[in-house]
Amino acid sequence: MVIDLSEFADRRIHENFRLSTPTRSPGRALNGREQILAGENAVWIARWNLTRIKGAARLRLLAMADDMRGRFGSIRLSVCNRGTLTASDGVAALWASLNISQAEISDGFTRYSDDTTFTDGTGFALPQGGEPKVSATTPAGATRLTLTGAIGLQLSVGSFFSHDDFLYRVAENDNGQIRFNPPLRQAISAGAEVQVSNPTFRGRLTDDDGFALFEEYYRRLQPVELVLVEDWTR
Amino acid sequence: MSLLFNGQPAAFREALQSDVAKTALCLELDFRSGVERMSDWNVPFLDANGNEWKPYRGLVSISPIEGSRSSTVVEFGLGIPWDFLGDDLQPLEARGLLLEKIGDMSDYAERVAKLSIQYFSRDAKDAFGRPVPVGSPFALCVLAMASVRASFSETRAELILTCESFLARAGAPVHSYLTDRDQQRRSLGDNGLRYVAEVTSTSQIWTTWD
Repeated sequence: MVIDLSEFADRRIHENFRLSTPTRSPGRALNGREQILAGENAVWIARWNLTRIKGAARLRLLAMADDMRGRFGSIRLSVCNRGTLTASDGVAALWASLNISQAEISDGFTRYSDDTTFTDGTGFALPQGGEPKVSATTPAGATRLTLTGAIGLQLSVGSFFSHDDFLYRVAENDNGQIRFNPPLRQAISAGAEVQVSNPTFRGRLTDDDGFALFEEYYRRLQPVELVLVEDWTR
Repeated sequence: MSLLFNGQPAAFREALQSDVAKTALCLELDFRSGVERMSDWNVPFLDANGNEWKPYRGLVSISPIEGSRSSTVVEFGLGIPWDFLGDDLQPLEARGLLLEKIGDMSDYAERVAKLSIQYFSRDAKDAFGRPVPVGSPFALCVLAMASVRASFSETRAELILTCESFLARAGAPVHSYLTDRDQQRRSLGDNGLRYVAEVTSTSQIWTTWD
């Protein structure tokens, strides 16, 4: 069962996602020094701090905790994508970020850099918002893909995107050709949307009583922190 | 041994001498019904021959591998395929299916299981940003699949694949004779060969009651 906590997203005060990569050491390498071995085994560990929740929301949360059954239940969170332009910012913000003038907006098209237009007096269509799309089918295990759409071209380094609740963080963006971590959990087909405005993540509690804090939370006003590890079940 | 190192590309030798290396533990099981390749990664990867190694799931555990001559058996813990655990199957039905597969020994018995380490380039990536393997997989052991056992309890289900060395098996000839002792070693409790006179090479002496 998937418990969706996205509706409480506006109550978060802190969220911290880190990739945990286990390494091992088989002993000395041929150079006589210890060799550290690593594979592609990184998993997300998420820490989510919530502010106080009142009334009906709290009751709903308690009901969700009942459904969760400790580590059995899967929790879906929406992740705040700071520092990058998203579709939810609206097209006005997108156009402003691309330095499109008011005149061009009122015309409904943009001009060449020397302010000329096509021979029929029109220009390039105004870029539209909307979630970026993947331009080519990309296999699981990949760490690079190409995004189309104005939002995808501008995705900031360090920002998130998600697909099917699997979360990825951008490491490089060269005009839509992005490199990211961790490697793709599952293949993405050409034309599929990735979520930038409202990336989602699915995780499990690291211990069965991880949700128990919510029971005491309203009374004692203690900070609530959920610690989750990436859930692979789909 | 020198052939092992000289036959590998320079990038592989560099990886062996490096302070850090990217590796994957690979298990290849040559079932009659098809080759299964699995690794300890959580995403798939392609080797130099274009074979895809499946992530996780397949390979759950490996018993300690010792280099001594007396230790010739390795046990691999395998993930139980979802086909046998699916939502629409009753537990008893799932067990039946699994045991049926285990009973089909020709699918695995005496066939090869290879455990190897694949090194990867630290920097080179393919078009999709996947790490590029360097050299051939470095074999840790090449074994013959011998037996499979499944155990079920309230909290877990286990599938253990026992593999034996081709060169020296635990106290037995390479290809075992059809003796009761060998049969007991492979399938404890199977008394099928106990009283076969031709096999045991003994003369049955019947009492004359005198």
